[in-house]
Amino acid sequence: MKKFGKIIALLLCVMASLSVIACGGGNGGSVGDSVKDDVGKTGKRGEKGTLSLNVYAAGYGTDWITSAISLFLQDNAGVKYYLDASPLALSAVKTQLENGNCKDDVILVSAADYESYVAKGYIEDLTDVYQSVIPDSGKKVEEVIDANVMADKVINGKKYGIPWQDNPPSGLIYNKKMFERYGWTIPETMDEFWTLCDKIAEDTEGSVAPLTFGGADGNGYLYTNFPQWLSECYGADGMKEFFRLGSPEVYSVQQEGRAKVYSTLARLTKGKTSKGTDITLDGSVGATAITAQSNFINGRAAMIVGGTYFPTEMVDYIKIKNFDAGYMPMPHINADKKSIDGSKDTSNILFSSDNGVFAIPASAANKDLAKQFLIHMLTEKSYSSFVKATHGLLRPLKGVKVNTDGFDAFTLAAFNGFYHDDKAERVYAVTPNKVLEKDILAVFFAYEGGFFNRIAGAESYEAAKSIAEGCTANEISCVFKKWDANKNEWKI
Amino acid sequence: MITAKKSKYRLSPSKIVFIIVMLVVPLANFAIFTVYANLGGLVLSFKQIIDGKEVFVFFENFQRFFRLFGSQNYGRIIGTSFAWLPVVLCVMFPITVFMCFFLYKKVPLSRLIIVILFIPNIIPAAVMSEFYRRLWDTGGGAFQSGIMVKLFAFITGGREINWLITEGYANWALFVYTIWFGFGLYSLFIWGAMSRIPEEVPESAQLDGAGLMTELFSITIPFIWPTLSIAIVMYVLTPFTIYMQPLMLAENGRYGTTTIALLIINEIKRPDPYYAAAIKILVSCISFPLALLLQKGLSKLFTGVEI
Repeated sequence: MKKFGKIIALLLCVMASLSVIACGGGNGGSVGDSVKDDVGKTGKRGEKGTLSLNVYAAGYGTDWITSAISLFLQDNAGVKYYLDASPLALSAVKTQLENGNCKDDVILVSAADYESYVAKGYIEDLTDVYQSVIPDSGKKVEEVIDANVMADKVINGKKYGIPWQDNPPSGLIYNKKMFERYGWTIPETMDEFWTLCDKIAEDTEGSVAPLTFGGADGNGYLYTNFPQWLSECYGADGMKEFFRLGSPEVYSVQQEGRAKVYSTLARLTKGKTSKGTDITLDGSVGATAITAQSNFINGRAAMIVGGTYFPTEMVDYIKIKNFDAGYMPMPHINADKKSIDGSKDTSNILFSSDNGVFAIPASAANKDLAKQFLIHMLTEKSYSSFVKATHGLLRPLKGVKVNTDGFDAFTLAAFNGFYHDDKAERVYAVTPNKVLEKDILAVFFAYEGGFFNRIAGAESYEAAKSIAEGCTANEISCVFKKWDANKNEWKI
Repeated sequence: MITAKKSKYRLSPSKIVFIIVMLVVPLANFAIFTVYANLGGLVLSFKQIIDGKEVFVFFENFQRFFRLFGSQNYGRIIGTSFAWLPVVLCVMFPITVFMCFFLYKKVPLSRLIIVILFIPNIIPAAVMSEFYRRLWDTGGGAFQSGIMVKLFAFITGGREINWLITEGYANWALFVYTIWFGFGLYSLFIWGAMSRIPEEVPESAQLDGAGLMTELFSITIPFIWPTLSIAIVMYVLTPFTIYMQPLMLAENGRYGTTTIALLIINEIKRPDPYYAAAIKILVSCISFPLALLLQKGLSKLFTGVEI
């Protein structure tokens, strides 16, 4: 018995050790092991002539940055690189900057940290970069960067970063083989979407749910769709007025559109098809993202709410299942693809939250090299490689052509859905005093932001509709709670 | 020949070196992570960034806390934090003491029970959290997925819902997690303290006809009171320190699970470390004297027993 106990204890020790060992390896916590060997010559972090980068890498993998590095090194012979890419990059860099031992030349800075980094002198002034000419186009950097996204990042007339990437609304990933087999068409409006759901239920006799999502993770990634739908109701000018957040009335003015968004959410999560089956796969509200994606790939649902990270994140599972995924943008909330009053065409509108900037630490050893790299990322070939590697994700740029040669169907569909032939009208969630960024308020604020689970977690569609109908009134009262009527400002 | 008598208290050079070496690390630790960190926090609480510069704002950060008390639902956050107190003090603590007592009495399979109890403490918290989240996953999948959903729907007679993402239920799901996986740390200390009780004492009590409960309350608890009182103080401070469960299991304090400590962490991440430092100072003004008073009061309940 004693011997048996000792064996158990030894096994447990080995298990515990394995969990620690597995956490190590790579280049200082980077995904260096997965970086392709053909990127270029590697050097030491912080040494002269070696471009050192420390960037965030998660769902989109690292191809977007390694391809940018590779193209830069091809045009800059003799330059070496060092890459540290991980999901913990933002906090790791923060610690290094605060300790004064950041040796990287290019870092990513979140929107939340930007102002404090500037105040503490951590990052370099890049105003001169904005006046630089991009090698292949002859345009200046300031001409291609969307001014709206940098509106709140100009401090004392200076700019300290180059915008990183958009954070667009989720789309719908669909089962391509299933769609082809049954002849289903891609909907462009929510009315067409409801019709599609009815058809799916009819054709599969209710065995396949039209939609699934991972409600236990970030509201199923639907939270970015609510502001997009609202933008489709009120257009870019209407949303810019909203984001000025001059008073709580900005919410009241949009009651009609907001009510439509809340009711759409109720129908999407609890609604029924004409056959009486649920639009959404049973259990989606409480499912984790991985479970939802597994259910989707296993054919239990025809579509899943998701982003262009899907092919990268699920690459192994997709290969095993030989799955063919397609992408469609989330359908327009209005049948005529116009604003809610019918006066404006809002088919090209694209909402994005602020996703941070590339910056150069003040302690960087290769500042000029870093600046050249950031400018190079704005060339057509580099930007095209970025879009390809992220399966269609864009950066907040205008007037930079994207070469779509070699784009697979998924990437092309996503790219076209965002790019709108470079005519996309962008709306960025940038607010004075950062009331949205600081979570004092949210674009949709019913039940202090807790509306999703109340609606999606309702017992029935009727209950969900009833909650949704009450959301706009509840939202107004929650918003007024954050307003100081005496001082005529938000309480921050 | 007269020789000087060596004082029995004079230390040899080697002993002095030994003492210094042993004290250097804990003293440095205290100086850096307690004194410097807290002093730094104190200074930060009087500063803010205005127009891109760090400036002294005196008590503005403290005033801001009271100004935002209603609009930012700080009352609810405090209430949520203190909801943990009965969970840890009235549920976890007694169960821990009873369990340690029966382990100390060497009930059958006690060694196996010890191993099972301590396994959650050696598995990384991220892994445990993900495992627990899967137990509440309503999407189907692996056999254990959603098992908690079914169990609690059966117990409460309600619908099958993911408690972790439902306001009004999320905190209960966190309490269950803590009670289930939270044994280990204090059990180690309490069981260790019980193990040091000389065997003759309970043996003689048994000869006098004392039962298990009499032994527990009249002999074991008084003997290990110094250890127990430290555990009680740590449990009472839980409302001021708990943050890991809402952070990892409830998507960073959503669904009404934000606690005081998590509020401070989120303010640091915002980033507004100045305001976070001010909240921390305010919290310390209550938690620190509370800990001292409680420790003093508890030490008077039972006099220490020399073993």
